[in-house]
Amino acid sequence: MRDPRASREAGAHETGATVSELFDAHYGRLAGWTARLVGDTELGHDFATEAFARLVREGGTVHEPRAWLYTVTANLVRDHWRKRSREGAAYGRLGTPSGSVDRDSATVLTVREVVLALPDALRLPVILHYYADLPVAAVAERLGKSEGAIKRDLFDARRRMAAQLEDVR
Amino acid sequence: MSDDPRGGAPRDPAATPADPDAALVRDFFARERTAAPTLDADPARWREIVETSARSRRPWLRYAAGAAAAAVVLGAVGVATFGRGSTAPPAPAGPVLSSSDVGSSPPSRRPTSSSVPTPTLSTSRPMSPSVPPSLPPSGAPVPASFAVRSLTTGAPGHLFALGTVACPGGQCPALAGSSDNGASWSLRHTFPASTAAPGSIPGRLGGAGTLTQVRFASASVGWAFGGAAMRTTDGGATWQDYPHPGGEVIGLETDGTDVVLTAAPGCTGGTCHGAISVVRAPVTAASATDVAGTIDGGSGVQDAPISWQGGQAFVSPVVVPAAGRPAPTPVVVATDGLHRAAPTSCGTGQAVRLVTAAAGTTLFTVCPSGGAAGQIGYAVQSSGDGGTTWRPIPGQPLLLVNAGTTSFAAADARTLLAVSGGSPDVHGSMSLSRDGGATWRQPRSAPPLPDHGWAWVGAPGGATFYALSGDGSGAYWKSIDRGETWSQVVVAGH
Repeated sequence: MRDPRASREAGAHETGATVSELFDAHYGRLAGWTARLVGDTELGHDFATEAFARLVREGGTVHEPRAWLYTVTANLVRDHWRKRSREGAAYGRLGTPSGSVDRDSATVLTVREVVLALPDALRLPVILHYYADLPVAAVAERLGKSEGAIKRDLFDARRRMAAQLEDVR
Repeated sequence: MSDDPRGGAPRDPAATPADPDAALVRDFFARERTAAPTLDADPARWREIVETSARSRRPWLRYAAGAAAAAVVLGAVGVATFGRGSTAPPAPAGPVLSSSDVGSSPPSRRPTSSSVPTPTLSTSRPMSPSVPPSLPPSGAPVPASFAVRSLTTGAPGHLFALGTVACPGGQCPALAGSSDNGASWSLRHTFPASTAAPGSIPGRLGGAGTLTQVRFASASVGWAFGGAAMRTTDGGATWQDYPHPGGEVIGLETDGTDVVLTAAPGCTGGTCHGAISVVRAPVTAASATDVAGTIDGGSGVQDAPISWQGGQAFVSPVVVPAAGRPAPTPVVVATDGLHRAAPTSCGTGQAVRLVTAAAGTTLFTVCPSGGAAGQIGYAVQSSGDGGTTWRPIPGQPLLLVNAGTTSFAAADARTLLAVSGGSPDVHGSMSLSRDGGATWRQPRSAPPLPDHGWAWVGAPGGATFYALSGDGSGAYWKSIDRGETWSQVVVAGH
């Protein structure tokens, strides 16, 4: 059951949804979507929470809030990966193992592994178009690129991902 | 675009019809969307979102002072709307919730002198605020011998640490300050050696006339206490005695507007003997005179910590009850006295510790509930209505190494941190819950366990926790991700 305070305040608006309604509609899926991307349920919650908190602060100015939420979350994930990569490099310089493989990646691939194998510049278009199922036009608008540029990124990424996926078929 | 991210994507507008890779990639991601779980979107998550957005608007919340900000944002959330193609400008904030929206009506805040007996005003032992000769002057680097005993915040970016330094008389309490959130520190004041608490560790009562703890209400107004009590109005450069009734000060906390202290007479060897006086005053007052009420001190008072939430102060007496008497329960400080704020007892006759979440309106209690093999178990209950009703948290109990001292802090309705320490033989422990106390585990990247374990943890707001070791080192530990990872902040030698 939702917080009664929030339910009382979150009455439906004629022209759109309140953040409370968006929370009901999208939070669980966004958090799970993110958790699978980062391989960590708590981080999934943390990033989804942060995205919704930023939506609150936007104060009703956001177009296409679902696309906006997934874009904000994808950016948080990308920053998380970059940070982990820097830490991994630092540990590597110190000769510390960077982590262990917990299953046979030769037979099963997850979205996290497939996206992490891509160059950094291609990750967001792939996450937003293929994994979040956003149209190319929406991805282009959110990332501030032309549709043609996004299509080129996706073409390049597709070639790379297909080779990876073919290897485990 | 499918509105359901878990649904399949039957077409790929980014690919040409003849692209042989398109179907393979599309099918893979469709499977991954389906495999992604739908996680809980429970009320606690919603509250966390509201509180997180409030914290970002007010990037620093004083200890346990976030409820009002959260209420304001709840109003704003109610009127902000989003829709396809909407071009609505930012909506104005909605009305602030009334107290009945937040929970049961809280008691009025400030006690009045007519509501309680007016005690005879006594003062701490007179002390010279001057710095003894041959000690570092204010503004000097913090001596390498500085050992942190107490940590507090005053204003955004302002931290103060009370510790001890080597001085001609042995050890002297000293105050270090930082105006850049702990990046750099300078010495603000050195107190006389006579105010030092020999042999005591962080978090323990210091004894008569000593200064072991510090709290600040702003960047300029603060108190040092631990038996004695002194007040500064210039950021710690100079100090004056802080007259108060009730004996020696054993607890003091402020929400930036008011200060509440607990005092008891006859303190020796870490135990006081007599009733606990609970005193409240505006932070602008040079003394504390209004006793909100007294708590039976039983056979001995070991502690009486205070915590704030939403303008209300709660006191958790740690008392050895007299024979045949139950242990006193935590109380809330109200206009007409002290009112019970937590369950009657732990069922074990031991003290209930009340913990306020730094953001939100959740209260927690922790009760010793048995244990074995050198550990003590703690049962957790929570209240979302200011302590009117309480709900036991089911799940795995909190277990802490039985090392003498315990400390608890809550960042929000879901995140609690518990530590123990004090013994060089069994060290102590640190345990974190991210689900409101249902399950407990070690932080993902816990700091190394000090020889004497942990003496204190605090939640100043946001995702931040602070921790002090029982070793009396020249550093403290800080987490900015709700207790998961920790870094050491060195104060000594800056």
